[in-house]
Amino acid sequence: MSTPSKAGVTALAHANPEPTERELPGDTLAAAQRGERWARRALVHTYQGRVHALVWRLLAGAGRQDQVEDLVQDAFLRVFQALPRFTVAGPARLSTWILSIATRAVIDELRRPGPRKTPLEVVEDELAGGERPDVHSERRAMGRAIEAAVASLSPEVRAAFVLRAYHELDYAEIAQALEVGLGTVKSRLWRARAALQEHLQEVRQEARR
Amino acid sequence: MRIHEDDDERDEDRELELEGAPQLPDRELLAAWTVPEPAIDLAERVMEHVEAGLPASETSEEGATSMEDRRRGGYGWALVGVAMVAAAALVLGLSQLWRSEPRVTAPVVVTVPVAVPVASPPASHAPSELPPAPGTPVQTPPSQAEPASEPPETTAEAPKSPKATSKAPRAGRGSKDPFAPKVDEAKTATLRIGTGRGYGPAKVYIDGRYVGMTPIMNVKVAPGRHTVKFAWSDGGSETSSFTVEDGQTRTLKGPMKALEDPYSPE
Repeated sequence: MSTPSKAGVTALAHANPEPTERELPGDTLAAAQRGERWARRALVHTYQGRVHALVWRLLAGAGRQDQVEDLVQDAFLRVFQALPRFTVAGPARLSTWILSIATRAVIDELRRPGPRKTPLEVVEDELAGGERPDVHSERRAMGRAIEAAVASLSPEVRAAFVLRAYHELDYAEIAQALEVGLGTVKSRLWRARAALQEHLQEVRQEARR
Repeated sequence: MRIHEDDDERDEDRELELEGAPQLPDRELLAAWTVPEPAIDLAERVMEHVEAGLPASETSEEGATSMEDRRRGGYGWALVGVAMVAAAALVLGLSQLWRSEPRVTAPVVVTVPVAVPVASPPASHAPSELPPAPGTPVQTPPSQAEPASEPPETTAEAPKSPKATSKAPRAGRGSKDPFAPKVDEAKTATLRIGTGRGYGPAKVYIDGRYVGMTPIMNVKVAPGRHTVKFAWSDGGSETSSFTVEDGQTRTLKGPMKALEDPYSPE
Protein backbone atom coordinates (compact mmCIF):
# COMPACT_ATOMS: atom_id res chain seq x y z
CA MET A 1 0.00 0.00 0.00
CA SER A 2 1.33 3.42 -0.82
CA THR A 3 2.06 6.02 1.79
CA PRO A 4 -0.79 8.44 2.15
CA SER A 5 0.00 11.94 1.03
CA LYS A 6 0.22 14.60 3.66
CA ALA A 7 -2.32 16.93 2.15
CA GLY A 8 -5.02 14.76 1.46
CA VAL A 9 -5.33 11.28 1.55
CA THR A 10 -6.02 8.57 3.25
CA ALA A 11 -8.38 6.38 1.79
CA LEU A 12 -7.01 3.27 3.26
CA ALA A 13 -5.86 4.97 6.42
CA HIS A 14 -9.54 5.63 6.96
CA ALA A 15 -10.94 2.58 5.35
CA ASN A 16 -8.57 -0.05 6.53
CA PRO A 17 -7.45 0.91 10.02
CA GLU A 18 -5.02 -1.08 12.04
CA PRO A 19 -6.62 -3.78 14.16
CA THR A 20 -5.44 -2.11 17.37
CA GLU A 21 -7.58 0.93 16.72
CA ARG A 22 -10.59 -0.91 15.46
CA GLU A 23 -12.86 -1.06 18.47
CA LEU A 24 -13.37 0.98 21.61
CA PRO A 25 -12.29 -0.81 24.80
CA GLY A 26 -15.21 -2.30 26.71
CA ASP A 27 -14.85 -0.14 29.80
CA THR A 28 -14.70 3.01 27.69
CA LEU A 29 -17.79 1.90 25.83
CA ALA A 30 -19.62 1.30 29.10
CA ALA A 31 -18.62 4.76 30.30
CA ALA A 32 -19.79 6.28 27.02
CA GLN A 33 -23.11 4.49 27.44
CA ARG A 34 -23.41 6.10 30.87
CA GLY A 35 -22.87 9.45 29.16
CA GLU A 36 -19.43 10.15 30.53
CA ARG A 37 -17.88 12.93 28.57
CA TRP A 38 -14.33 11.59 28.28
CA ALA A 39 -15.61 8.27 27.01
CA ARG A 40 -17.88 9.85 24.43
CA ARG A 41 -14.97 11.90 23.24
CA ALA A 42 -12.87 8.75 23.00
CA LEU A 43 -15.59 7.09 20.97
CA VAL A 44 -15.69 9.96 18.50
CA HIS A 45 -11.91 9.95 18.21
CA THR A 46 -11.83 6.21 17.63
CA TYR A 47 -14.43 6.12 14.87
CA GLN A 48 -14.43 9.57 13.32
CA GLY A 49 -11.94 8.63 10.61
CA ARG A 50 -14.00 5.70 9.42
CA VAL A 51 -17.27 7.56 9.67
CA HIS A 52 -15.83 10.52 7.82
CA ALA A 53 -14.41 8.34 5.05
CA LEU A 54 -17.70 6.47 4.67
CA VAL A 55 -19.81 9.62 4.62
CA TRP A 56 -17.43 11.33 2.22
CA ARG A 57 -17.50 8.43 -0.23
CA LEU A 58 -21.27 8.14 -0.09
CA LEU A 59 -21.74 11.85 -0.67
CA ALA A 60 -18.97 12.31 -3.21
CA GLY A 61 -21.02 10.69 -5.92
CA ALA A 62 -23.87 13.07 -5.33
CA GLY A 63 -21.62 16.13 -5.48
CA ARG A 64 -22.57 16.93 -1.94
CA GLN A 65 -19.21 16.74 -0.23
CA ASP A 66 -19.95 20.05 1.40
CA GLN A 67 -22.38 18.19 3.62
CA VAL A 68 -19.86 15.68 4.88
CA GLU A 69 -19.02 17.37 8.15
CA ASP A 70 -22.63 18.04 9.02
CA LEU A 71 -23.56 14.45 8.33
CA VAL A 72 -20.66 13.04 10.31
CA GLN A 73 -21.85 15.13 13.17
CA ASP A 74 -25.42 14.03 12.63
CA ALA A 75 -24.32 10.40 12.55
CA PHE A 76 -22.50 10.68 15.86
CA LEU A 77 -25.44 12.41 17.47
CA ARG A 78 -27.62 9.50 16.35
CA VAL A 79 -25.00 7.14 17.73
CA PHE A 80 -25.09 8.83 21.13
CA GLN A 81 -28.86 8.81 21.18
CA ALA A 82 -28.93 5.08 20.53
CA LEU A 83 -25.77 4.13 22.41
CA PRO A 84 -27.45 3.09 25.67
CA ARG A 85 -29.28 0.40 23.69
CA PHE A 86 -26.14 -1.05 22.10
CA THR A 87 -25.16 -4.40 23.52
CA VAL A 88 -21.69 -5.82 23.19
CA ALA A 89 -23.18 -9.30 23.12
CA GLY A 90 -25.38 -8.37 20.20
CA PRO A 91 -24.87 -9.36 16.59
CA ALA A 92 -22.95 -6.25 15.51
CA ARG A 93 -19.53 -4.95 16.38
CA LEU A 94 -19.56 -1.37 17.61
CA SER A 95 -17.78 -0.18 14.48
CA THR A 96 -20.30 -1.95 12.24
CA TRP A 97 -23.15 -0.56 14.27
CA ILE A 98 -21.78 2.98 14.02
CA LEU A 99 -21.13 2.66 10.30
CA SER A 100 -24.68 1.37 9.84
CA ILE A 101 -26.06 4.42 11.59
CA ALA A 102 -23.87 6.71 9.51
CA THR A 103 -24.93 4.96 6.32
CA ARG A 104 -28.60 5.39 7.13
CA ALA A 105 -28.04 9.03 7.98
CA VAL A 106 -26.44 9.60 4.59
CA ILE A 107 -29.07 7.65 2.66
CA ASP A 108 -31.81 9.58 4.45
CA GLU A 109 -30.09 12.79 3.44
CA LEU A 110 -29.58 11.71 -0.15
CA ARG A 111 -33.25 10.95 -0.51
CA ARG A 112 -34.00 14.57 0.24
CA PRO A 113 -33.48 17.27 -2.37
CA GLY A 114 -30.02 18.74 -2.14
CA PRO A 115 -29.16 22.29 -1.20
CA ARG A 116 -27.69 24.80 -3.62
CA LYS A 117 -24.86 23.46 -5.72
CA THR A 118 -21.43 24.66 -4.82
CA PRO A 119 -18.41 24.26 -7.03
CA LEU A 120 -16.32 21.29 -6.05
CA GLU A 121 -13.22 22.10 -4.15
CA VAL A 122 -10.26 20.60 -5.91
CA VAL A 123 -7.62 19.43 -3.52
CA GLU A 124 -4.29 18.75 -5.13
CA ASP A 125 -2.66 15.77 -3.54
CA GLU A 126 1.02 15.93 -2.92
CA LEU A 127 3.01 13.25 -4.63
CA ALA A 128 3.64 10.29 -2.45
CA GLY A 129 7.34 9.91 -1.69
CA GLY A 130 9.27 8.52 -4.62
CA GLU A 131 6.20 8.24 -6.83
CA ARG A 132 6.74 9.10 -10.46
CA PRO A 133 4.50 11.86 -11.81
CA ASP A 134 3.06 9.61 -14.52
CA VAL A 135 2.22 6.94 -11.94
CA HIS A 136 0.67 9.56 -9.74
CA SER A 137 -1.36 10.84 -12.63
CA GLU A 138 -2.57 7.35 -13.47
CA ARG A 139 -3.53 6.73 -9.86
CA ARG A 140 -5.48 9.93 -9.81
CA ALA A 141 -7.23 8.95 -13.01
CA MET A 142 -8.13 5.59 -11.51
CA GLY A 143 -9.32 7.26 -8.34
CA ARG A 144 -11.54 9.54 -10.36
CA ALA A 145 -12.81 6.59 -12.35
CA ILE A 146 -13.78 4.74 -9.19
CA GLU A 147 -15.45 7.87 -7.88
CA ALA A 148 -17.31 8.33 -11.16
CA ALA A 149 -18.40 4.70 -11.14
CA VAL A 150 -19.67 4.99 -7.60
CA ALA A 151 -21.36 8.27 -8.48
CA SER A 152 -23.36 6.51 -11.13
CA LEU A 153 -24.88 4.20 -8.56
CA SER A 154 -27.96 4.78 -6.48
CA PRO A 155 -27.30 5.68 -2.83
CA GLU A 156 -28.29 2.18 -1.71
CA VAL A 157 -26.01 0.40 -4.18
CA ARG A 158 -23.23 2.87 -3.44
CA ALA A 159 -23.60 2.19 0.27
CA ALA A 160 -23.36 -1.56 -0.21
CA PHE A 161 -20.22 -1.21 -2.30
CA VAL A 162 -18.45 1.25 0.00
CA LEU A 163 -19.29 -0.75 3.10
CA ARG A 164 -17.93 -3.88 1.46
CA ALA A 165 -14.88 -2.58 -0.36
CA TYR A 166 -13.65 0.02 2.09
CA HIS A 167 -15.08 -0.92 5.48
CA GLU A 168 -14.82 -4.70 5.54
CA LEU A 169 -18.42 -5.39 6.39
CA ASP A 170 -19.50 -8.85 5.40
CA TYR A 171 -22.64 -9.44 3.39
CA ALA A 172 -24.80 -10.15 6.42
CA GLU A 173 -23.62 -6.97 8.14
CA ILE A 174 -24.36 -4.94 5.03
CA ALA A 175 -27.80 -6.51 4.87
CA GLN A 176 -28.37 -5.53 8.47
CA ALA A 177 -27.00 -2.02 7.98
CA LEU A 178 -29.17 -1.39 4.95
CA GLU A 179 -32.13 -3.32 6.32
CA VAL A 180 -32.38 -5.52 3.24
CA GLY A 181 -32.02 -9.21 2.48
CA LEU A 182 -28.80 -10.98 1.60
CA GLY A 183 -29.93 -11.44 -1.99
CA THR A 184 -30.44 -7.71 -2.35
CA VAL A 185 -26.95 -7.07 -1.05
CA LYS A 186 -25.47 -9.47 -3.61
CA SER A 187 -27.48 -7.87 -6.38
CA ARG A 188 -26.31 -4.41 -5.36
CA LEU A 189 -22.69 -5.46 -5.15
CA TRP A 190 -22.98 -7.07 -8.56
CA ARG A 191 -24.26 -3.84 -10.06
CA ALA A 192 -21.53 -1.86 -8.35
CA ARG A 193 -18.83 -4.15 -9.68
CA ALA A 194 -20.24 -3.92 -13.19
CA ALA A 195 -20.26 -0.12 -13.06
CA LEU A 196 -16.74 -0.09 -11.69
CA GLN A 197 -15.47 -2.43 -14.35
CA GLU A 198 -17.00 -0.33 -17.08
CA HIS A 199 -15.52 2.94 -15.84
CA LEU A 200 -12.08 1.51 -15.21
CA GLN A 201 -12.03 -0.04 -18.65
CA GLU A 202 -12.68 3.36 -20.17
CA VAL A 203 -9.80 4.86 -18.22
CA ARG A 204 -7.44 2.08 -19.27
CA GLN A 205 -8.41 2.45 -22.92
CA GLU A 206 -7.90 6.18 -22.66
CA ALA A 207 -4.45 5.62 -21.16
CA ARG A 208 -3.43 3.30 -24.03
CA ARG A 209 -4.21 5.92 -26.68
CA MET B 1 -8.69 -9.61 -4.86
CA ARG B 2 -10.35 -7.94 -1.93
CA ILE B 3 -9.17 -4.97 0.00
CA HIS B 4 -9.10 -7.12 3.09
CA GLU B 5 -7.81 -10.57 3.45
CA ASP B 6 -10.28 -12.34 5.65
CA ASP B 7 -10.92 -15.75 4.11
CA ASP B 8 -14.61 -15.94 4.94
CA GLU B 9 -15.26 -12.52 3.54
CA ARG B 10 -13.21 -13.27 0.46
CA ASP B 11 -15.23 -16.42 -0.02
CA GLU B 12 -18.37 -14.35 -0.21
CA ASP B 13 -16.84 -12.31 -3.00
CA ARG B 14 -15.58 -15.40 -4.77
CA GLU B 15 -19.02 -16.91 -4.63
CA LEU B 16 -20.39 -13.80 -6.23
CA GLU B 17 -17.77 -13.97 -8.94
CA LEU B 18 -18.55 -17.62 -9.53
CA GLU B 19 -22.11 -16.59 -10.13
CA GLY B 20 -20.83 -14.34 -12.90
CA ALA B 21 -20.29 -10.99 -11.18
CA PRO B 22 -17.42 -8.88 -12.53
CA GLN B 23 -14.23 -9.01 -10.49
CA LEU B 24 -13.54 -6.36 -7.92
CA PRO B 25 -10.46 -4.24 -8.67
CA ASP B 26 -7.42 -5.02 -6.57
CA ARG B 27 -6.62 -3.33 -3.34
CA GLU B 28 -4.07 -0.93 -4.83
CA LEU B 29 -6.57 0.28 -7.34
CA LEU B 30 -9.34 0.76 -4.81
CA ALA B 31 -6.93 2.76 -2.67
CA ALA B 32 -6.60 5.25 -5.51
CA TRP B 33 -9.95 6.69 -4.52
CA THR B 34 -8.73 8.90 -1.72
CA VAL B 35 -10.62 10.80 0.92
CA PRO B 36 -9.50 14.29 1.90
CA GLU B 37 -8.92 14.89 5.56
CA PRO B 38 -11.68 16.79 7.33
CA ALA B 39 -11.18 20.53 7.27
CA ILE B 40 -12.14 20.87 10.89
CA ASP B 41 -11.73 18.91 14.08
CA LEU B 42 -14.80 16.75 13.80
CA ALA B 43 -14.52 15.39 17.30
CA GLU B 44 -14.54 18.89 18.77
CA ARG B 45 -17.55 19.86 16.69
CA VAL B 46 -19.49 16.74 17.54
CA MET B 47 -18.72 17.05 21.22
CA GLU B 48 -19.71 20.72 21.26
CA HIS B 49 -23.15 19.78 20.01
CA VAL B 50 -23.52 16.78 22.26
CA GLU B 51 -22.49 18.74 25.31
CA ALA B 52 -24.68 21.68 24.39
CA GLY B 53 -27.56 19.23 24.47
CA LEU B 54 -28.56 20.34 21.02
CA PRO B 55 -29.27 17.29 18.88
CA ALA B 56 -28.86 17.69 15.15
CA SER B 57 -32.56 17.19 14.61
CA GLU B 58 -33.17 20.31 16.66
CA THR B 59 -31.23 22.43 14.25
CA SER B 60 -32.71 20.76 11.23
CA GLU B 61 -35.86 21.84 9.57
CA GLU B 62 -37.82 19.05 11.16
CA GLY B 63 -36.30 19.89 14.49
CA ALA B 64 -37.26 23.50 14.13
CA THR B 65 -40.79 22.44 13.37
CA SER B 66 -40.97 20.21 16.36
CA MET B 67 -39.60 22.99 18.51
CA GLU B 68 -42.32 25.26 17.17
CA ASP B 69 -44.87 22.63 18.00
CA ARG B 70 -43.54 22.35 21.49
CA ARG B 71 -43.59 26.09 21.87
CA ARG B 72 -47.11 26.20 20.55
CA GLY B 73 -47.95 23.50 23.02
CA GLY B 74 -46.52 25.70 25.74
CA TYR B 75 -48.61 28.62 24.58
CA GLY B 76 -51.57 26.30 24.53
CA TRP B 77 -51.13 25.60 28.22
CA ALA B 78 -50.65 29.28 28.91
CA LEU B 79 -53.88 30.01 27.07
CA VAL B 80 -55.66 27.32 29.04
CA GLY B 81 -54.39 28.99 32.20
CA VAL B 82 -55.55 32.41 31.07
CA ALA B 83 -58.91 30.96 30.06
CA MET B 84 -59.30 29.32 33.45
CA VAL B 85 -58.52 32.54 35.26
CA ALA B 86 -60.90 34.43 33.00
CA ALA B 87 -63.60 31.86 33.64
CA ALA B 88 -62.97 32.07 37.35
CA ALA B 89 -63.19 35.84 37.19
CA LEU B 90 -66.43 35.57 35.24
CA VAL B 91 -67.89 33.13 37.71
CA LEU B 92 -66.70 35.36 40.49
CA GLY B 93 -68.28 38.39 38.93
CA LEU B 94 -71.56 36.62 38.16
CA SER B 95 -71.76 35.08 41.55
CA GLN B 96 -71.15 38.42 43.12
CA LEU B 97 -73.68 39.96 40.81
CA TRP B 98 -76.23 37.40 41.85
CA ARG B 99 -75.35 37.82 45.44
CA SER B 100 -75.12 41.56 45.45
CA GLU B 101 -77.93 42.43 43.06
CA PRO B 102 -80.71 42.33 45.63
CA ARG B 103 -78.89 44.82 47.79
CA VAL B 104 -76.78 46.59 45.15
CA THR B 105 -74.52 48.29 47.57
CA ALA B 106 -71.14 49.69 46.64
CA PRO B 107 -69.25 48.16 49.58
CA VAL B 108 -70.23 44.70 48.46
CA VAL B 109 -68.84 45.40 45.01
CA VAL B 110 -65.53 46.57 46.34
CA THR B 111 -64.93 43.51 48.45
CA VAL B 112 -65.79 40.99 45.76
CA PRO B 113 -62.39 40.17 44.28
CA VAL B 114 -60.70 39.38 47.55
CA ALA B 115 -63.51 38.08 49.68
CA VAL B 116 -65.01 35.42 47.49
CA PRO B 117 -63.08 32.35 46.44
CA VAL B 118 -63.32 31.11 42.90
CA ALA B 119 -65.39 28.08 43.75
CA SER B 120 -67.62 29.89 46.15
CA PRO B 121 -70.94 28.25 46.92
CA PRO B 122 -73.03 31.10 45.50
CA ALA B 123 -71.75 30.28 42.06
CA SER B 124 -73.25 26.85 42.20
CA HIS B 125 -76.50 28.24 43.47
CA ALA B 126 -76.59 30.97 40.91
CA PRO B 127 -79.31 29.63 38.61
CA SER B 128 -81.87 29.74 41.37
CA GLU B 129 -80.77 33.18 42.45
CA LEU B 130 -80.95 35.12 39.22
CA PRO B 131 -81.32 38.80 39.94
CA PRO B 132 -84.37 40.72 38.90
CA ALA B 133 -84.23 43.22 36.11
CA PRO B 134 -82.69 46.57 36.98
CA GLY B 135 -85.15 48.90 38.51
CA THR B 136 -87.34 46.16 39.80
CA PRO B 137 -88.02 46.56 43.49
CA VAL B 138 -85.78 44.22 45.32
CA GLN B 139 -86.85 42.13 48.20
CA THR B 140 -83.89 40.84 50.00
CA PRO B 141 -84.74 37.70 51.86
CA PRO B 142 -83.66 37.76 55.46
CA SER B 143 -81.98 34.42 55.10
CA GLN B 144 -79.34 35.82 52.67
CA ALA B 145 -75.78 35.59 53.75
CA GLU B 146 -75.39 39.33 53.38
CA PRO B 147 -76.35 41.38 56.37
CA ALA B 148 -80.09 41.79 56.46
CA SER B 149 -79.75 45.01 58.32
CA GLU B 150 -78.65 46.95 55.24
CA PRO B 151 -80.51 50.22 55.00
CA PRO B 152 -83.37 50.33 52.52
CA GLU B 153 -81.79 53.15 50.52
CA THR B 154 -79.68 50.55 48.72
CA THR B 155 -82.72 49.86 46.61
CA ALA B 156 -82.55 53.37 45.29
CA GLU B 157 -79.14 52.66 43.82
CA ALA B 158 -80.35 49.67 41.91
CA PRO B 159 -79.87 51.15 38.41
CA LYS B 160 -76.19 51.70 39.09
CA SER B 161 -75.48 48.30 40.46
CA PRO B 162 -75.06 46.26 37.27
CA LYS B 163 -72.42 48.64 36.00
CA ALA B 164 -70.61 48.72 39.29
CA THR B 165 -70.73 44.95 39.61
CA SER B 166 -69.48 44.33 36.10
CA LYS B 167 -66.54 46.54 36.78
CA ALA B 168 -65.47 44.56 39.77
CA PRO B 169 -63.65 41.73 38.00
CA ARG B 170 -61.96 44.16 35.66
CA ALA B 171 -60.64 46.14 38.56
CA GLY B 172 -59.40 42.94 40.11
CA ARG B 173 -57.71 41.87 36.91
CA GLY B 174 -55.94 45.16 36.53
CA SER B 175 -54.37 44.97 39.92
CA LYS B 176 -53.96 41.29 40.64
CA ASP B 177 -54.15 39.19 37.50
CA PRO B 178 -50.58 38.21 36.74
CA PHE B 179 -51.35 37.45 33.13
CA ALA B 180 -52.62 40.79 31.97
CA PRO B 181 -49.55 42.90 32.69
CA LYS B 182 -47.22 40.13 31.57
CA VAL B 183 -48.45 40.31 28.02
CA ASP B 184 -47.64 43.99 27.86
CA GLU B 185 -44.34 43.81 29.68
CA ALA B 186 -42.64 40.92 27.82
CA LYS B 187 -40.92 42.76 25.06
CA THR B 188 -38.28 40.29 23.95
CA ALA B 189 -38.09 37.17 21.89
CA THR B 190 -35.10 34.92 21.48
CA LEU B 191 -33.57 33.67 18.28
CA ARG B 192 -31.20 30.83 17.64
CA ILE B 193 -29.64 31.24 14.26
CA GLY B 194 -27.73 28.70 12.26
CA THR B 195 -27.13 27.62 8.73
CA GLY B 196 -28.52 24.52 7.10
CA ARG B 197 -26.65 21.47 6.06
CA GLY B 198 -24.27 22.19 3.29
CA TYR B 199 -23.98 25.83 4.11
CA GLY B 200 -20.93 27.24 5.77
CA PRO B 201 -20.98 29.75 8.58
CA ALA B 202 -22.64 33.00 7.60
CA LYS B 203 -22.69 36.53 8.89
CA VAL B 204 -26.14 37.35 10.15
CA TYR B 205 -27.89 40.70 10.07
CA ILE B 206 -31.22 41.27 11.74
CA ASP B 207 -33.04 44.30 10.36
CA GLY B 208 -29.75 45.41 8.87
CA ARG B 209 -27.83 45.13 12.14
CA TYR B 210 -24.94 42.68 12.30
CA VAL B 211 -25.52 40.21 15.11
CA GLY B 212 -22.72 37.74 14.56
CA MET B 213 -21.53 34.67 12.75
CA THR B 214 -23.53 31.45 12.82
CA PRO B 215 -24.17 29.54 14.97
CA ILE B 216 -25.65 32.19 17.22
CA MET B 217 -27.51 30.92 20.23
CA ASN B 218 -29.12 33.90 21.92
CA VAL B 219 -30.25 36.91 19.95
CA LYS B 220 -32.90 39.08 21.60
CA VAL B 221 -35.36 40.91 19.40
CA ALA B 222 -38.63 42.66 19.90
CA PRO B 223 -41.73 40.69 19.01
CA GLY B 224 -43.00 41.31 15.53
CA ARG B 225 -41.78 40.97 12.00
CA HIS B 226 -38.09 41.21 11.17
CA THR B 227 -35.76 40.62 8.30
CA VAL B 228 -32.74 38.37 8.53
CA LYS B 229 -29.86 38.34 6.12
CA PHE B 230 -27.33 35.53 5.86
CA ALA B 231 -24.13 36.51 4.11
CA TRP B 232 -21.53 33.91 3.18
CA SER B 233 -17.87 34.53 2.56
CA ASP B 234 -18.26 33.61 -1.12
CA GLY B 235 -20.41 36.68 -1.63
CA GLY B 236 -23.71 34.82 -1.62
CA SER B 237 -26.48 36.02 0.63
CA GLU B 238 -30.06 35.23 1.49
CA THR B 239 -32.57 37.63 2.96
CA SER B 240 -35.89 36.62 4.39
CA SER B 241 -38.39 37.79 6.90
CA PHE B 242 -39.90 36.09 9.88
CA THR B 243 -42.29 36.84 12.69
CA VAL B 244 -41.60 36.21 16.30
CA GLU B 245 -43.95 36.50 19.23
CA ASP B 246 -43.59 37.82 22.72
CA GLY B 247 -41.42 35.56 24.80
CA GLN B 248 -40.98 33.10 21.97
CA THR B 249 -37.73 31.35 21.14
CA ARG B 250 -37.30 30.53 17.48
CA THR B 251 -34.66 28.68 15.55
CA LEU B 252 -33.83 30.20 12.19
CA LYS B 253 -31.74 28.43 9.63
CA GLY B 254 -30.21 30.00 6.61
CA PRO B 255 -31.23 30.04 3.92
CA MET B 256 -34.67 30.92 5.15
CA LYS B 257 -36.27 29.67 1.96
CA ALA B 258 -36.13 26.27 3.55
CA LEU B 259 -37.89 27.41 6.68
CA GLU B 260 -41.62 27.47 6.88
CA ASP B 261 -42.72 30.33 8.99
CA PRO B 262 -45.99 29.31 10.62
CA TYR B 263 -46.45 32.81 11.94
CA SER B 264 -46.02 34.51 8.63
CA PRO B 265 -49.17 36.27 7.39
CA GLU B 266 -48.35 35.26 3.81
